[in-house]
Amino acid sequence: MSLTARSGRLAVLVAWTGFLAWLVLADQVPRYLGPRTAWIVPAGAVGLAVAAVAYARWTRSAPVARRALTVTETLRLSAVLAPILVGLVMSGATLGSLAAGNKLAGRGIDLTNLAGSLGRGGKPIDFLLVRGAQEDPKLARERGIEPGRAVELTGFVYRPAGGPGRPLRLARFYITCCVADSVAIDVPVYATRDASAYRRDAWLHVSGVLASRHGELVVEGARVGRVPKPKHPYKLFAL
Amino acid sequence: MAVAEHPTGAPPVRRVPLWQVTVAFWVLVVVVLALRASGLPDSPRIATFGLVFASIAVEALPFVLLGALVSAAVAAFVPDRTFERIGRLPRALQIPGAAACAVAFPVCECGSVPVARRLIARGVHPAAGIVFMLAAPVVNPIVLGSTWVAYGGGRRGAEMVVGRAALGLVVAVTSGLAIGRRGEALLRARGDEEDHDHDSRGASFADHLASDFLFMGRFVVLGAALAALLQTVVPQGLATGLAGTPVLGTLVLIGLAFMLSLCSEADAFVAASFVAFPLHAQLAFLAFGPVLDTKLAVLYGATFRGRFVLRLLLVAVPTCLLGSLAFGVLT
Repeated sequence: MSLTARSGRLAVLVAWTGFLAWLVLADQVPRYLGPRTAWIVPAGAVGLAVAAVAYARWTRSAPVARRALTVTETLRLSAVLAPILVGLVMSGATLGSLAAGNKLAGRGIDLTNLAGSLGRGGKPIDFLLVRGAQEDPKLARERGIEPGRAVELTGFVYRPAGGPGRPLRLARFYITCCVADSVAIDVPVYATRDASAYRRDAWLHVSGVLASRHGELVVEGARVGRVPKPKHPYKLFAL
Repeated sequence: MAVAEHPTGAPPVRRVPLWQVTVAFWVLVVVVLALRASGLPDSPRIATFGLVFASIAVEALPFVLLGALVSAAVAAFVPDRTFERIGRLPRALQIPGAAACAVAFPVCECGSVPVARRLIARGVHPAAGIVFMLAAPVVNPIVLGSTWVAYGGGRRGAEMVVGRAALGLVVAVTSGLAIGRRGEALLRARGDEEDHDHDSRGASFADHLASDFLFMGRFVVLGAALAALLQTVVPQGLATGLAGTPVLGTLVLIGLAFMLSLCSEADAFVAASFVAFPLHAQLAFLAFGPVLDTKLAVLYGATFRGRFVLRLLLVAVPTCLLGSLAFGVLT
């Protein structure tokens, strides 16, 4: 018994519908997309479900329903399924030092245009606010993000290939639309323990006080503890 | 594997029996479970590639579906005589008309390709089809709104919005005129088009929708894989040394736009963070990325013939470069 081209195409539409639905139901969307574009996944799942139903209903007697599925078409349809396979394998993975080191934006992101939105509200101090306060004195004054202020940060150990092991650099990725546009923001941490004790990409929780060293806001006297990788590893540019 | 004679006498086609598909499915299930258990996702290179690849595909494919939906609606519900009338209009009217439609069509680049393909196939002048395809992802209100927000509004935001819209239209019209001016057949034939002989509009719509989505989808997936590979192996920091040079800095960001394959609705946030580069180079990034990037190059290659990608590259790069330099002088 051979499959028809119609059943092959329908299977791919259904597979993508199921994958997008799984991303929503399993809370996997934040691993791939930011808040501005997260709606695309449920909308895509609904759209594909409607397309699959319409295709199943209206093409029962179409020529495609009489044509056998060929090996060539099977391979072409399989290519469309590749991201699903990768998504299922990668469901626990996150970006780390390698991606952070490759990102151009991580070297000099302009936070001044984000300062307005950052300054409002009682958002807890995070990597973005520390780096923003370093570049924007007004934001630093408004939020009191200045030397002596106690902070707590959770992030991964950012150690670029060939980079120095000290100070420990703790980082977090921020995304706008999708992981492809993510930006790593890091803060130096002077821990009481030797920084090299913490392996690259390990997730840590750090508590200490802000200090200024060489014009850079750093966390000093930090107590460092290992933590499991968070369920939502990326922070979001709340624009 | 079953082999069958094609009724028209063409070479025999190899059919796929159901049992092989069933076995392949269960093999895939075992492979996924084995890869997850092996710790492969913890490998930095594999994780970076896989996450960037899947995220581009997950973000792009719903827009491909939207484009396929419009394309299928055009194929199934718009009568031939409408396109015959449009096709008889002089090119000088079709091109501005296409640009005006692009402003009102809120999709990113993955969605505009199937629509443009369908318009050209139905008789719209190829130059006008290309103008629509290249302008829609740059000048639609959502993209311009996100550009305004990314640049913090105010005067700088307004300059970037106006600059992006103007340069986007200039690149689209120049490319459309340069590549499609002679009205030559640009579209590559697709193997699945002989199926579209339907006795109802519903069947025609559903079949066009599925085939357009799956055709464009596989090339978007391939392009996403290439973009992810580039993001994984090429350190973008190599570019910072050239940032201060006006021409080279602009070319570097054009190259980066090609490599990153960002959605046009998101790219302004990334461009705004390239503080080492001048504003005009950031504008070139914003104008070029939605016109030609890694995933689009693959998609164009499958949609158009006649070295379309090379010709587009030869027109769009100098236009973006000169336009962005002019923007730098004016602002």
